[in-house]
Amino acid sequence: MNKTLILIVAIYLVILSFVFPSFADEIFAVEKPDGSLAIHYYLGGGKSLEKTLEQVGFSGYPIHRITERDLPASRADRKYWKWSNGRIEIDTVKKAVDIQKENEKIQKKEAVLTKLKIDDEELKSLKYALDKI
Amino acid sequence: MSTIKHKFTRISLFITILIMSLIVKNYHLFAAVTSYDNTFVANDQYSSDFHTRLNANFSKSLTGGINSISSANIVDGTLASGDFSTAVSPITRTAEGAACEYVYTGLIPATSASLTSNISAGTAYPKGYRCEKTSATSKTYTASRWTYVDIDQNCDFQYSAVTIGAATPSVASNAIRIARVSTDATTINTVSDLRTTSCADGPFSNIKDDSTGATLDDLLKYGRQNRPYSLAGNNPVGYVSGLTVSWDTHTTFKVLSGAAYIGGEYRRVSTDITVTTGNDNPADGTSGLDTSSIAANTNYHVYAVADQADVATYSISYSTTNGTPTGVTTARKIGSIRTDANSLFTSTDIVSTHAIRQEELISGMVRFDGSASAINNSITGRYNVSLLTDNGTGDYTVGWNNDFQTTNYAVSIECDQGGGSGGNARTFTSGVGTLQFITTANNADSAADCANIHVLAVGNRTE
Repeated sequence: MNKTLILIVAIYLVILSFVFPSFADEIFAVEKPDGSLAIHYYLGGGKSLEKTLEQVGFSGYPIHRITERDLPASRADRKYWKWSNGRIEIDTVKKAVDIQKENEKIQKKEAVLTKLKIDDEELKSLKYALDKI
Repeated sequence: MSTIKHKFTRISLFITILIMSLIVKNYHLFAAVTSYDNTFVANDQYSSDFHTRLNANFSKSLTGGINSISSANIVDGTLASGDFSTAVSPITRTAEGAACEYVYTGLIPATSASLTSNISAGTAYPKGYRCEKTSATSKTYTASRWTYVDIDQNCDFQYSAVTIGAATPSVASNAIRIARVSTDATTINTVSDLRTTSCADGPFSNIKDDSTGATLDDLLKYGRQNRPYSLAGNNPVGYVSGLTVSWDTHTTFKVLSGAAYIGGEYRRVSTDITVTTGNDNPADGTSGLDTSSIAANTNYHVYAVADQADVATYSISYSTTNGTPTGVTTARKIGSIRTDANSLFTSTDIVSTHAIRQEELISGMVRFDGSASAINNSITGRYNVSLLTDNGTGDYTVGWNNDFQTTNYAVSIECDQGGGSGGNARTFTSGVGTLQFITTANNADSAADCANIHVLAVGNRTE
């Protein structure tokens, strides 16, 4: 295939993208007061986006129109999504704090197990027995 | 010679007079009365068979002329109404509305305390022939039969007797149907008027799109409603629009305006009918309970009734009887309503046989993968959903396209984590336009994304 043909096909595809409207859903990222993000997928219908957001309770919050490409590929860090630098980023500071808290929790638990000289399963049985009292 | 001369002279005179008389008559010929007998006087001298031969020849000539007459020989404006017999007079037929096969007047059998009664005088148009019965016709019917009465184009009544309840026999050859006479052992107890008495107003059975298509009567008469409804064999058929049974107050209910085919009658009401706990009177169009008083904890069957004569409207009767209300002849079941322990109508459990209430349908639903990065792309089915919101891990909101009337709608949410792992879901908040819910892992408290989420909502919407 020569370069001219490739160029013609490319131009044709670009023209097509303008001629035929996209029916993709509209996606919006809304910044909540706690800094986290809510992702709204507006699927269309008789109700306006403004009315929909008002009913959801996000009226007046900063809102950003995004595309699916702007969404992180994984939801593993969904609770740390934040709006920064004009895009969705992982809030690494918040994530580090949570990891630190989780590690401290694990350390405290291991300390208790060491003091009691029991393992995790025995601790669960003990906790279950105490709950029954 | 002189005699012959005289005879010739008289014949010449006669022919001259004949030609003159034809001229004077201005070509108006009357074949039936034409004769020349009176042209001759007594003692005239002529051949004894002359006038006979002359009449025969002239009659032949006239008959030949009439038989070859064409419209060109009929002068414009010369044919008047009196020139036609009553049976074919366009004035008479137009005045009697003979645009179809129908009965113009009379011709209805009478009931009787015996098996003999009269069919009244009248006029009908079977096969386009005008049949006028100037006097009543006596008929003795077979006992305990349905006898169908037809009148044919020869103005003769034709009778087809069948067992009571048997299928309707075909209309007699070249005839139209008049009535069905029902007899018991000794009397004529019922006469069903089967006459078509108007061409201008139908009948619907004569109206169709083409000669082989279904008639308008067929379209209105046949077909069951959207809701398959069969309770003890009571399965109403035929056209119905509206007539929805609707709760109104604890002591009244409504049947909404509409139109329906009711046992052979086409009836309509333009305003809603409010039905009270009082008793009905089908003959004068009063709606109500068919008999006795309203009872507690009772299911009532609601009927549209077409017993009032000479009206286009229907009334409403309700009854504990599933079939035909007491005192009602022509009815169609349209629904049911129930009373509570205090004999008050309840707003729940109302049924319209031909309509489905919104509470009986799913008002909104969506199915999606809550663990997908872009959850909109994971939607495999939705109805009445305009928005999905990903609030965070295991936290979603559905935005309804058409709001619910109240927040008291029912919701069912299922979370299936997939791969054999269960999950849980619980409603967080439900508004008239939104539903927020949380999904968790199986037997866990903290929110977790859910791979298969099913949401169903049922209730009254605003639209």
